[in-house]
Amino acid sequence: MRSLSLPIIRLVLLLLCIGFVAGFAVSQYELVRSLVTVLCLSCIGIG
Amino acid sequence: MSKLRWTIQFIALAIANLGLFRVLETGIPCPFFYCYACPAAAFACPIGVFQNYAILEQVPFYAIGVVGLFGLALGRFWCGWACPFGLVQDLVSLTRGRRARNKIRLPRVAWTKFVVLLAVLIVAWAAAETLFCKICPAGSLFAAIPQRFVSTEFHFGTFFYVHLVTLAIALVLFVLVGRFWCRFLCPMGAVLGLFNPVSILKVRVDFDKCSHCEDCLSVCPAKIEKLEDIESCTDCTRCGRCIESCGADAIKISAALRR
Repeated sequence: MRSLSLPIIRLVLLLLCIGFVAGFAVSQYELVRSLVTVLCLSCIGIG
Repeated sequence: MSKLRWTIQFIALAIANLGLFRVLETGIPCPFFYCYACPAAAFACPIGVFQNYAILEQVPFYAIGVVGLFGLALGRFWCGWACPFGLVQDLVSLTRGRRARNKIRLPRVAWTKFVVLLAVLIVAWAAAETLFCKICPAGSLFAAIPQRFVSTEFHFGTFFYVHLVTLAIALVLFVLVGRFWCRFLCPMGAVLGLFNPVSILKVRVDFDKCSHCEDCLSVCPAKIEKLEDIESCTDCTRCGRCIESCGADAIKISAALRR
């Protein structure tokens, strides 16, 4: 039973993560990308 | 193995900087600690992303999913083999010589980085500000200082100098204690550490071969104290020093789906 639990946990986590990426990448990718392309000036103390 | 690790660390540093001259600036959260305000950043820092979403009072499902996939595959292998800030700590450690011990010996404390992670998110939400970014030593090294040379038209204010101070403190700590940031403070290490017990890639100990000499534990930069903890604890960065030190060839780094 114990030998089966780890693969099952992995499978659940894998499906959850793939679901998160598949379900939210379209709506959230651009915001995350904007953090890279728009320099956070205040964070690094320049302005 | 250590030559291979150094090589991969430098390759990872190069990949993290593929955003140089805006060539490849992606919205993919990276599986390590690297500032997205770096003029050459190709990926987003997950801790920065999590803070921004805490401010927006939204759940960063996409970033959690990406980081989860990275963690599920390799766990904290990313910390030991790919993290640019880990590379900096390893380079600083060279000042102590190849075999030199830490100047200060600190025991393993697993929970501090989880407290840091929680504090970073709560403070970002409460203050509606990415306050951790303003003192982050990785941000100092990879973003603030490079921007000083790249962005000559900008004025450098208080937080630039705060960054310099935090970086200086961090560097002193790295000289005194190897991988200090990874062991005690890294919020990204905390996130990836949660995946160590379930990751597909693991450091596995063959207890039939093991002579219990504990040479592996004596060289461990994460200061893991029990052989049984190597496989699943949240601190192991899969750096492979234990594998190199094992005379009985009892420790291996391997990927297996079923165990």
